[in-house]
Amino acid sequence: MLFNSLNFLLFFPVVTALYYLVPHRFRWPLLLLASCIFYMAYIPIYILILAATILIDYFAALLIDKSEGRAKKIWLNISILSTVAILFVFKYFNFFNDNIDAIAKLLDWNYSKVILRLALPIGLSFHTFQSLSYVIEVYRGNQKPERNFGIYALYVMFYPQLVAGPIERPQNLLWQFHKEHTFSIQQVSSGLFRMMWGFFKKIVIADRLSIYVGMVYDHPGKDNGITVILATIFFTFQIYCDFSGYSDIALGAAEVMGIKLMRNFNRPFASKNISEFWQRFHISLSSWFYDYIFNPIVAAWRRWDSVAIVLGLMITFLISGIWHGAGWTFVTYGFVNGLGISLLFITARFRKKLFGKIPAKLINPVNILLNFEFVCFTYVFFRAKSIHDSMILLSSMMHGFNLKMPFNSQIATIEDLVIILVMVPLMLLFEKLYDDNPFFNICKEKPLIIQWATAWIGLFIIFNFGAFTDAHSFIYFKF
Amino acid sequence: MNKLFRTLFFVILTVVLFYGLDSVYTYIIKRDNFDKVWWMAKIENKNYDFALIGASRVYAMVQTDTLENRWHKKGIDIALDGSNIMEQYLILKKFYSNHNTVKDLFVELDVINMGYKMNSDFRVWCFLPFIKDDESVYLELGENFDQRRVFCWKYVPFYRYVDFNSKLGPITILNAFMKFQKPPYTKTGDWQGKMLRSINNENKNPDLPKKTAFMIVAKVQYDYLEKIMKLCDDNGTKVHLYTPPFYYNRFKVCRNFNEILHDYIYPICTKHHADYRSFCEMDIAHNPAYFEDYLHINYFGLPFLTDSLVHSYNLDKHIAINHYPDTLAAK
Repeated sequence: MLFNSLNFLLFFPVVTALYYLVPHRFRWPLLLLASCIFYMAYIPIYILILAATILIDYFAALLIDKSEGRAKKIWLNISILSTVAILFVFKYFNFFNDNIDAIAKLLDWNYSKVILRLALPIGLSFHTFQSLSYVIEVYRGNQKPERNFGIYALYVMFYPQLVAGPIERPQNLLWQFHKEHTFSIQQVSSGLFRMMWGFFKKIVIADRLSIYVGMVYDHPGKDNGITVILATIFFTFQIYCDFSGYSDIALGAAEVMGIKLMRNFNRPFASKNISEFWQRFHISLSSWFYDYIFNPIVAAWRRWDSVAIVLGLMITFLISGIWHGAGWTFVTYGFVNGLGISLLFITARFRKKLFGKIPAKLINPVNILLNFEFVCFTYVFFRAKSIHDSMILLSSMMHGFNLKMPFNSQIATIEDLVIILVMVPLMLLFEKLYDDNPFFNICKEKPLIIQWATAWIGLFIIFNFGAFTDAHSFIYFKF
Repeated sequence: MNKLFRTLFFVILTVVLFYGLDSVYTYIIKRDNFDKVWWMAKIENKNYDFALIGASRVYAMVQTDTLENRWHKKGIDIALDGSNIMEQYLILKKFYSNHNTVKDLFVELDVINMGYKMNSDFRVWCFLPFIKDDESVYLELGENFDQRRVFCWKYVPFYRYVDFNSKLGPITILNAFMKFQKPPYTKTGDWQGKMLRSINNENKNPDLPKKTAFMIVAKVQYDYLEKIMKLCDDNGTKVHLYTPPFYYNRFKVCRNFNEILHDYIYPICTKHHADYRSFCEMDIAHNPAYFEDYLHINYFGLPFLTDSLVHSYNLDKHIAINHYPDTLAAK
């Protein structure tokens, strides 16, 4: 079910109303049922895949808790391998097979390629990681295993964050399902305002930017120079508004029910380098990789000092790249990011020596701008359909600098461009001034009429300037 | 409790506010003529000798004023570019419900027109300002679109303007006051205007491949054709179905064309005493110089099609003159 669909417009108030109407002991079954309905709106049968992951990790966690020493590790490995195997079959099997086939052809081997014609279950990477996080935390002794199967299932399936995160940790989420949440107008209005901000970013900005980006990126080589550069910048904002918009809606929907999910974005475009960017962008995934991939690698190879860190970074970002999608474009995306952070780490002392004495007020804007350019560059690989396409797009950026070209009506209407050029800076400004819940922070503790006026203005902007013609899916749903 | 009542008050106020916005938008949009449907809705109590209905292949390809001069008859172009046959039926219904009359109606019929999906968002927005006060609009849309969506268009205040805000949004409202786009509609359609882009005889796609298989005929399209015929019968209008040329005679490309003619079009024509004529065999169909693209003839092709229409129909006797093999002329 899409958040920006008519179905959700009915689903959300009904579930929320029922949630507060039923006694506490019926709330988790209600949320679990609602989450099943939410998930089954895509391909109903795929709920079985989710059920398999839940069953494996539920019992694995109990066995890990009971076991000691080697047995404990074996149960952890069984759990990780089986959960990752499901992910591999559905997401990576064909990619892996294509590459084996290509190598076989190159070496003249006789290899019969098998193609699995399976649609990718929505949000598979997200709930797989959330489930893995649970068993690893139980293994590390940071989390007691959840005895109530239903509540554990809800931890994996909680509908606001089921298909695109934030990837929660059991320490943050599980206990909240046990706690009784009372209705609070303040909390509900904060949640609703946060959802509204998410819808604003998704419908008004991301979906409108997608029109321009699609026209350019779906036909590589057709446009050049400033048009492709502008489309790349637009895509950088599109992906931020699309994904952070989703996260805001998820956080808001959970907050309405009194459940606090972790913050997933923190003004990433204010980052002064790529390392800081990844601490502000998709925080739940970055911290997942930091805790469960990077740290163990560095700890295992710690005698190698800096080499261990660089290797850790490269491996982590390559996995992060492939986590996003089964394709060489995503591998390259991860590789470029890893390379960027590694270079930052290697040159840290040298840069400090060279630029250390320049006042922060002067150097920070330059760093922010350079980092933004780097981020835009990495997104060329993310958005292009193939490495070949990304090369065409990158080379197209090098020529054709006619300022009239981006305003070609075949790419976007003048209304689209005006809305984009007004709304994107407005969004950045509001997030700087009012943090992650601008609509709420503008009017909280103000008279009720001001609060409602803010809501009306917000709705008016979304309703009038949103791109509603087709309900666009969220980019991260396919991961 | 006090807080709850205040919240409830503001919820109700929000609904009232959106209801007000809905009414203001409807009033402003209906007042102006920025879309042909809105322009058409204001034509009342007029009598015409002939009218032309269809999509862009009428709107941009027939010179109604030349037809008027040559036939010495009063005519009107009620075609809507990009429309499907259900939308054309709605236009015609509106035309009759406004107490207009017409003696001969030329219905453009082709694989494009008849192949359009009935639930396309492409043109439906221009009917939404009428969905509340015209029950037929609500019913027809309800039959072809997602019923929940149509319900919301009618009953959820301002929803229709939100759903199509790029067409019925603030730009349209601003336009109503600032008039930066002039209403282009006249009773002779728009053949001289913006629809005909390649007035400089520049065919952009002269070598289009001939591979397009246009349509799988769905019964629903023919149901609407039948409804149009029935409406005309009820209002004493004689119907003439015709197909203007495609570049390279594309209509013939459709493999099941002959079956369509025999299974659907001829029986409908016989039932409603209508005639059918195909202009696909015209000489210009093989000359790219007369085409804007493979669907639309250009400025230079226009006089040829107009001429063919003039010579093919005798409006005084309401008949088609039989010239072509693909023709079912009224006996």
